[in-house]
Amino acid sequence: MAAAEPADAVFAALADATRRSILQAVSERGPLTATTLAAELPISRQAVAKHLALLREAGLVHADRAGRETRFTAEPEPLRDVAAWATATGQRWDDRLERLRRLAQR
Amino acid sequence: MQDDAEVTRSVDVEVGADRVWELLADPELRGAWLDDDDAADRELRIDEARPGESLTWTWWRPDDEAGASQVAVVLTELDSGGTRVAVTERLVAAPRLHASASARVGFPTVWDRRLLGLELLLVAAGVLVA
Repeated sequence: MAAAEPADAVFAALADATRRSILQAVSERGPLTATTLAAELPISRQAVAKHLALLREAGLVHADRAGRETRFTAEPEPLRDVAAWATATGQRWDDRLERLRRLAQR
Repeated sequence: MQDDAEVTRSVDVEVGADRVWELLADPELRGAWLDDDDAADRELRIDEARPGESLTWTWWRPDDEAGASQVAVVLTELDSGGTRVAVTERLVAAPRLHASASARVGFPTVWDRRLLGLELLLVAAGVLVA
């Protein structure tokens, strides 16, 4: 995968259901602040901020300061890499299995 | 609900599972159909071998510690006498996978498998549309 951020960090960030919820909210309705997200989720603002920091390290969101607020926006690129992985991997297996079938039936 | 980000493909072949198993288990025969520009570069570790039934391995590129995935190939005998070959490949978040000799020997048996949920792909779709 040609990720600008290590794919490792992307998977780690997405492994957590709460972070996926946060990312989903930010991607659908962003830019959002940690305070807004905390009001919607059953976790503290502090916990939301930690999750956002991880998402940011993974390159899945970016932060913009607006006065005293920090607003978070989703970054689609790392997810495109995952989608690209699935597409490329499926194509490779189609080809490999066809070679296997021909070899087996030779 | 499917809980992993994975790719599944299958093919039906007109030979018995024993013959398919040969093509699967023997590294040289396996290479004849498996190897392409992607597979040929990969380090491969067999995780589980059940003769005539299934083979599971983890593979990765030595230069890409983040790109490890696990492949499971399952053979099912068909009423026709043929065999269904079903492959599932799923991403696993890799630990450092630089292929030093010690890393190969001491490869962790318990993986920190940060698998991606289906929600991820929904999020991806949403993001891609956004």
